[in-house]
Amino acid sequence: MSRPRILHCITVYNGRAFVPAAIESALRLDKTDADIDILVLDDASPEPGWSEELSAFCRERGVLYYRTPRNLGIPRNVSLGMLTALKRGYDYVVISNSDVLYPANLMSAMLPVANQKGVGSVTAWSNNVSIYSLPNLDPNLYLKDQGVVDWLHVSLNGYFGDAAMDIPAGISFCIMVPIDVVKDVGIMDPCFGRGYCEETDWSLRSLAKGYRICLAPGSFVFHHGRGSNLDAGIVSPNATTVPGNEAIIDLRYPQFRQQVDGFIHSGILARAHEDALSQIVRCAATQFGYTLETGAPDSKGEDKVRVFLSPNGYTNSAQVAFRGFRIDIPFDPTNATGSISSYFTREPSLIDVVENTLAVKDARSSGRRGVRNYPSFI
Amino acid sequence: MNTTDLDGISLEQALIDFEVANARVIDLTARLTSLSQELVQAKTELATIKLRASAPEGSAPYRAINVGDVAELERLRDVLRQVRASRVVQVASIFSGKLRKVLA
Repeated sequence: MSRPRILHCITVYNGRAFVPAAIESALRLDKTDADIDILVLDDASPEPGWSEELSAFCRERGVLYYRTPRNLGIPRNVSLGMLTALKRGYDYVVISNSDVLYPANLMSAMLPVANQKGVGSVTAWSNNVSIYSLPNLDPNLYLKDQGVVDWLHVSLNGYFGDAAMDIPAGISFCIMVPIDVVKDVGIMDPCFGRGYCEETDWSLRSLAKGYRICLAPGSFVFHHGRGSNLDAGIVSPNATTVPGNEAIIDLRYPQFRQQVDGFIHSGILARAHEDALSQIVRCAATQFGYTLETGAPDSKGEDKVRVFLSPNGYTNSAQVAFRGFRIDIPFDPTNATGSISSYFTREPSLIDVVENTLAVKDARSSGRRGVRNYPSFI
Repeated sequence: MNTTDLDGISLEQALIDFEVANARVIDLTARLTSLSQELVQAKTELATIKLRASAPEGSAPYRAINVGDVAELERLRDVLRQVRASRVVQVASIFSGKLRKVLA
């Protein structure tokens, strides 16, 4: 069988500050499992000189570039990408925003999910992918780095592999669709004007035709979020969506909101978040080591895995901090080293537990007993 | 400037979008017309119900606006005709422009 062909479409509207990084990141995509062509769809960016600059940038790097004669809006620009893939004989189309960073092995993770029976679309996992987002304190500060994105992807893929999580609707910040599904379901509905909710409508149409809408938890794409939409004035800085377009979804799919609520309350997502965060900190601890400390996590040293124990020693959980991720892990106060070490399957590389914490000092001065002094256990 | 030409695909889709949009406009216009008629009908029914509620039960207006009470409506019309035809009203109308308008 011949290698699959993927058309990777990046929709652009202005975005001088982040588009080149997204294209450079796309150029790093590993082509072991598929032939990948990158198509930049410039939706008539109005920023003076930007389209010329972007065109030259793409030409130098062998990236396909097309600027529409006039602004189409996101849904029709996305449809142009889908139709191009269809008419030029590609097997898959990826629709992506331009404020993203891809891991090098993205396609190797997305393709096996897309090839599963009945899958109509695969959304990558991310820090900013609607309700599915991996919680992080400040993704732009801690995750916006190509090396970090590659590392996170490999870590998550090592745990979730080709798993496909069925979700209520896809998100087109980075979504892969087999071309046969495009043939069957069609393209985006232009009634969504300049954009927002069009992919919800599309994926619910695909669901009605019997296709699965999936998220690939074994992938990670960094997404800044709303970059182009803010530029285009589609959403205001404090808004996250377009109410008029949400009203169309409510009219067409009256059960959709309940389905989303049902999905959230099913616990599947919470479990996936917990497993993902656990995997991330375990991988990091295995690779880089970890420290034991007392107190509450601070923002210093986020590039290290730090395990924070409660100062009074009575809490039976400890909090792990790493690159803006936070997770509570089980912890036995009577066996600090043993319980933490068994979680990470290795000893801490540094024990930075201050013996004279305020709590300990206070307890000692007042003659109270029962305030545990961790070093005595460790 | 472009390194690939998608004009043909884009134009073809624009024409399809236009046809779809046009069909939607026609469909929506038909729905709007139909719903406007329904709205007028519903408003009329609402006004009738309000009027009925405001008239004392058993009174002549109450019976008149009850759709089925045609006889009462006819009796009221007959009274009106008699009033208009009375000599007093006709004489008064000669001197009153307003009365003439009412009788017209």
